[in-house]
Amino acid sequence: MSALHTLTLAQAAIAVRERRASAVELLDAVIARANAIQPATNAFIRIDEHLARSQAVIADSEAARGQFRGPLHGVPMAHKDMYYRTGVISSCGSRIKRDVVATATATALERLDAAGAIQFGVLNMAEFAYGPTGHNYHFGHARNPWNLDYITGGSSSGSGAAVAARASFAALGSDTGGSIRAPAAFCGVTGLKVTYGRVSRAGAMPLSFSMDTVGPLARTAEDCAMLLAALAGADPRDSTASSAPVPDYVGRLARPVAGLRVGVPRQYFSDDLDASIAKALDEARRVLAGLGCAVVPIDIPDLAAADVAGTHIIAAEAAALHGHWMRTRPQDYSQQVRARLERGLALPATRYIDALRYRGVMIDEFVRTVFSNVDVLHVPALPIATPTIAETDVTAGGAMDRTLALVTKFTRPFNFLGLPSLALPCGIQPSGIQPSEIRPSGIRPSGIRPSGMQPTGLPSGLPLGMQLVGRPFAEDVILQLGHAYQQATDWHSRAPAL
Amino acid sequence: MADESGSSGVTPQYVAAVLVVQGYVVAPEAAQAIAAALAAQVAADGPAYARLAFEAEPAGFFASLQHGRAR
Repeated sequence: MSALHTLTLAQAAIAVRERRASAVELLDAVIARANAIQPATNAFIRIDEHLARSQAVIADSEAARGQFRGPLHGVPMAHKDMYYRTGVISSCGSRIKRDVVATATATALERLDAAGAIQFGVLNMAEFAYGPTGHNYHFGHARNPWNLDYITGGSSSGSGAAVAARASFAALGSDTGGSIRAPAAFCGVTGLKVTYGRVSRAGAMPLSFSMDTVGPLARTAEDCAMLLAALAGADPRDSTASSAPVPDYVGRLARPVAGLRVGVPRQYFSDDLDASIAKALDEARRVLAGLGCAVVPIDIPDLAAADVAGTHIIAAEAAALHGHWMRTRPQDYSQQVRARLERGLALPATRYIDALRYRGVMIDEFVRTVFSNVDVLHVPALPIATPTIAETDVTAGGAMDRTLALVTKFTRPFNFLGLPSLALPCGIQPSGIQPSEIRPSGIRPSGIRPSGMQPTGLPSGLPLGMQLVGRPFAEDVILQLGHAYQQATDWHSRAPAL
Repeated sequence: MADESGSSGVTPQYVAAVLVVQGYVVAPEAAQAIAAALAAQVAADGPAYARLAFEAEPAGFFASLQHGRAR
């Protein structure tokens, strides 16, 4: 058997069920890997080895008796540090909550527990999940395991880095404007942003209650399907959690994709698009066509206004949630997050309400004009090649704002629309090309790195990502297509050399 | 600032005043940066919001999401 930490989630779960690996062995493997990559990547905020080990021992004794709690029995994983668990600190990546002990457990964690998963740690994240790059001025920036000078993307920065570095079989993230899909794309893993309401947010730190979604980052679409099967469904603790039936996500992966209509938007997604990403998307479309999909161009409604409206909703709701702390503890926020919250405080109420009113009109128009003609949209996850940590730092000046806006340009409209989207790797930055040479900002990397780390050389070989976007609650279709794509390609199986 | 002349109404003075009302004081440079960003956003979203019917309301999103599932 391969080194245990390199297995996919699905393979690890089967290994435990077939008694080819124990939960303790899996835990030992990922903790050893986590400890090995932590000094370089800063992916973890905390590793809770003692509690996880006792749970793994219990899981193995249950397995020995033929008892399995669920499909994730004995599989260890770490999660973004914003999912509350009774008696445990969830820092939310912040100074303000870094010592606050939770008094309830998130529904998402309860459901993973019930499926047999074992949590062994918490992962780095943007402060209060309000940042798309992976910077964190309280716990240190997360670093891309493919090249430590580059961002992981955020806000689920540690989730992307840990899964990519094979230090966790999967991880919960959250996605309000792209916070699962950006790190998935930057780090070369698979991330699922679900339909608004598909997964309960109870016990998860809120950022923007109209836009927040809970979802997984993992190595494959199959892994995401297994996790969604455990997570999805109604929840009396979250009034926005949908009671729509939960399909057999895993069972539906094997359905044929021939005949699916895949739309390629004529508008919006070619603006500001990096040439290497465009080329990777073209190649992915050839693969999808080879699978029997009908790949067709399609006109879509204007998403620029949706992007701005989404920005307004997040800004206003985040400012409202943080209003008390902003008035009483402004010094405890990083400059980057405080500046974004200040913008929300200044937004006129009518602008926020109009953004909410526009949402219904827009989703109706989008479904009517787009999803009556195609089953899935195929678009880039990001318009730009991976920026460095230095050039997206708060000290980087005016170029930073434009880069930050570009990072979420292709993801946030789908939060506004509430649509499900699967981000998955579809290429590698061409060898020998400095991403900064083909990036709009044109800023050179500064080479900041953790003390003691050796230079990593030219930053070629950074992953490129794409999105498959479906109609509301059609996670089964985008997972099915993503799985078929990953059966035909090997981008998802490539790992950083770290 | 995208529109410091004030045709959008989002001026640094407006921003500073609105924040003070909420018990939060910002430096003049911060107010100017916020006003610039907001003015640009208001200019971008205005045409879209002009299409909104008088009757449109936020709950329409949830109905449309469910309707989209059923299509």
